[in-house]
Amino acid sequence: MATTTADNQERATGVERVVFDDGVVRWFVIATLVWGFIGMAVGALLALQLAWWPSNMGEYLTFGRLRPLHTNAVIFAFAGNAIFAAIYYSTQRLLQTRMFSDLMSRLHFFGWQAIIASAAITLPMGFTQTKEYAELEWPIDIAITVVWVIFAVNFFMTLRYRRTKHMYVAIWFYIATIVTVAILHIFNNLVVPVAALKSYPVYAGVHDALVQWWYGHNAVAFFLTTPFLGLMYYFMPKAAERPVFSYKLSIVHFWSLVFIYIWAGPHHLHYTALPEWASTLGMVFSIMLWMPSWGGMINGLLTLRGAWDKLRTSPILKFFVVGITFYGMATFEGPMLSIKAVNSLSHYTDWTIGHVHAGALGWNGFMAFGMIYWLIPRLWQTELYSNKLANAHFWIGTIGIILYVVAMWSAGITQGLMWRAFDETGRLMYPDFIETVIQLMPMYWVRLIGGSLYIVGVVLAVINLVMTMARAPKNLEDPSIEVPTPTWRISSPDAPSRPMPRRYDDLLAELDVRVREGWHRMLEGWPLVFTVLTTVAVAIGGLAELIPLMLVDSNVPTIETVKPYTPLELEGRDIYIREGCVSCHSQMVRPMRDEIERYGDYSKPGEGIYDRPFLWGSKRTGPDLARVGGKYPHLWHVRHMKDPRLTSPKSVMPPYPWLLEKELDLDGLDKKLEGLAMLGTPYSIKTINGAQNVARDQAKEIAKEIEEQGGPAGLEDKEITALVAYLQRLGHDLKEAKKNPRRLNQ
Amino acid sequence: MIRDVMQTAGLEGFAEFGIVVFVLAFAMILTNAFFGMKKDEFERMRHMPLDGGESDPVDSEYA
Repeated sequence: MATTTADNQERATGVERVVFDDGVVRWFVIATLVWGFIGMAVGALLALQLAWWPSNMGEYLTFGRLRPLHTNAVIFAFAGNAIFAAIYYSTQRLLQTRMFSDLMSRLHFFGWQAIIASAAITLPMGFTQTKEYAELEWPIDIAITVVWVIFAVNFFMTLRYRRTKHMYVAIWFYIATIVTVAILHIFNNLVVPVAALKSYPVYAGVHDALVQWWYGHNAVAFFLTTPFLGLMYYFMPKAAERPVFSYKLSIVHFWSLVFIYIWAGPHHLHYTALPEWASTLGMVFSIMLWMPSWGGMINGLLTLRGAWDKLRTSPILKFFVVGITFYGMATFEGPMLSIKAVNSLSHYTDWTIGHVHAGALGWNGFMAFGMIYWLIPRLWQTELYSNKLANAHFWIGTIGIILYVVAMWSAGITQGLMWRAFDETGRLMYPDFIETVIQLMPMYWVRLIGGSLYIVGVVLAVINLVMTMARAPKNLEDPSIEVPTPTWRISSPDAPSRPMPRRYDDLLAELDVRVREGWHRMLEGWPLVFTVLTTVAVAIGGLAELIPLMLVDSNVPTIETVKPYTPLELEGRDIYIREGCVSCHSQMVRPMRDEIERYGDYSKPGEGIYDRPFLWGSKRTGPDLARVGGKYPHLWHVRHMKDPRLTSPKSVMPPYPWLLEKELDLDGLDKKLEGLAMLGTPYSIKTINGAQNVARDQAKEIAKEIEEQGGPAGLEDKEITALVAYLQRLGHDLKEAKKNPRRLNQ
Repeated sequence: MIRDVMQTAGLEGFAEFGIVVFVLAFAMILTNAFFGMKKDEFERMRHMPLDGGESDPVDSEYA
C-alpha cells in the first residue's frame, strides 16, 4: 500500500495525502508506442505480401505465420498497453487513491510485456491454436490468466480502499472489461495439451466455431471498446475542460452496451453450418447494438459543446473527435454487416478488413494517441516537444486511414460481386478464383500506401515522445494531492484503529439517504454488487447462446460416414494449422448458388465433429478448400506447394518449398491421438499405439503415387505427404455419404 | 442425462426469456436515470474527472 505512517497521522487531522504512481503509467505509454510501431510495421509487411508475393521471405516470415502476430501485437500489445496506461492513470485520480500495490503494478507491466515477447517468438515459429485473436498456445494462455488476475486484484483492491464514495462511469467500463475478458479468455482457451506447445480445444466443429466467435466478437467489445469508452469518459472531459455531456446518457449507455454486446458474436457465422436460430439471434442483437453505441458517441462528441473552437489548435482534441467519429462509423457499419443479406456479400472479403481497420486505426489508434499526447507533458512534467509534429501526425494518420478503408471497401465489394456473378447462360462469370484476386491488386497497393502513412504518423509520435523525455527533469516526482479522510469508509488496511460500530438509527438514516438517492446511485457506491450485476449482464447472453447449442443434439445432426482423421491426415492438419493456411482459405461452403457452383455441396454441421480446432476461416484470399479432396491428383498439390505459380500462374500465394525438404516428425503422434481420444474422438488403443507405423505406411503409399504421376521420388518421409493426405481428405466423407443418401442423416 | 434434460426442457423460449430480462432491466435503468436521481448529484458526477486529481501542471506551468 502506498499510504504511510505519515498519512495515518494526517488521518487524525482529517486530511490524507495521496501520492500517485505515475511511473507505471509512463512505462505503459512507452510500451504502447514501441509495440504499436512493431505491430503496424508487421501489418505493412503483410499488406506488401498480398500485393507482391515475393516479399514472403522464407519459412518464418510468410503471410500465414505473420498475420496472427500482427493482430495480436496491435490488439494486445498496442491497444492493451494503451488501456492499461489509461486505467492506471485515471483510476488513481477518480478514486483519489494510489494503486493498491506497486509490486502488482510492476508484475502486471513486466508480465504483459513478457507475454507479448513470447507471442512474437512462438507465432512466427508456427506454434498456434489458430483461433483468431486466441492463437497463443496453452502455456502463454496460463501466463495471461496469471497476469490478468494480478491486474484484477490490484484494481479491485484499489476500488476497495478508494477515497471517493461513488464510482465514475469510466470505472464501470473498466470493471466490465476486467470481468468479461477473464470469462472470455478462460472459456475460449479450454484445451487439452498434447505437447509443450501443442494442444487441442475441448470443443469441436460447430461448437468450437460458436465459442470462438463469442470470444472473438467480445474481444472487440471488451478489449477494444469498453476500456476505450472508459478512456473517452475520463480523458475527453479533461482535454476539453468540460464535464461529460450527459451522465444520464452514460448510465443507459453502459448497461445497454454490456448487455447487448455479448449476444452479437454469431453474426460472424452467417450462412455457415451454425444453426440458423443462433445466427439470427446474433443479427438481431447486433442491430440493437447500434443505439447504445451511438449513444456513447453522442455523449463523447457533445462533451465538446461550447469548446469546438479548441479543435483548431489542439491536436489532442482532433485525435479524440476523429477517433469518436470513427467509432460512430464502425458501429454503424458493424450492425449493417451483420444483416444477413449484406453479410452474404461482405463475408470472406476485404470489406471486413476495412471495417475492422476503421475501428482499430480510427477509434482505438486515435483515442490512444489523443490520450498519449495529453499524458506526455503531465507524466514527464515538461512541455510537449512539438505541437506541430503532433498536428502533422494527426493529418498524416487521417489520410492514411481514409486511403486504407476506402481501398478495402472497394476491394471487398468488387470481389463479393465477382464471386456471385453469373453470365447469361447461367454459368459463373469468373469461375477461376484467381480472376477475382487479380482485380484487387491496385486496391492492395493503395492499402499499403494508406497503412504506411499511418505508420509515418506513429514514428512522428515516437520522435515527439523521445524529444520530450530528453528535456524532462531528471528526477521525476510522483504528483500528490491532499484529500479529506472519507467519513463513509469503515475500513482501511493501515487504519490505526477500527471505528466504533454504528448504531441502528445511524444505519437507518444512511439507508434512507441511499434510497432517496436512487438505486443506481447506491450501486455506484457499491463496487462488489456492481461487479456482480455486470457479470450477470454479460453472462446471460453467453449462456443463452452456448448452452442450448452444446447440449441439444439436434443442432449438430451426425453423418454416418464422417470418420476421425487417420494419423497422417491429423499430422497434415497440424502442418496446415502451423503454416496459417486458414488465414487465406476457408473451409465452409455456404448454401448459396454461386458457392455450390464454384466449390461443391454446402457444408453440414455434422462434418466437423472431429475438427479440433474448427478451420472455417474468416477471409478468402484464396478459394475455399472444404471440397478440395479428390479434386486434383497428389502431384498437383506437391507442385502447388513448391511454387503455386506452377499450377496457378497468377497466384499470390507464398511458396512452401520447405514442405518438400523437411523431415516428417511423427514423434508425439500417439500423444496427439491420445489427447483427442480423451476428448471423445473414437481412436482405439491399437490405433494410438500403432499411430506412427500407420502414418508411415500411408505416407509411403502417397509418395509412391506422386512418383507414378511423374513427381519427385523419396517424399515418403517429408512433411508434404502429410499435408497432401489431409487436403485429399477434405470433403471426402460427405462424398461417401452422398453415394448412400440414407447415411446422410440431415 | 444432462443432454436428455436439456432436450426436453423446452428451450425454445430461452432466448426470448433473455430478451424479456433485458427489456425489464433496461426499463428500470431508464426510469431511474431520467426520473430517479437528483440533479445536483448528476452535476457532481459529470464534473468528477475535472475535480479529481492534482491541479493541472500543464495549465499552470508548461502551457
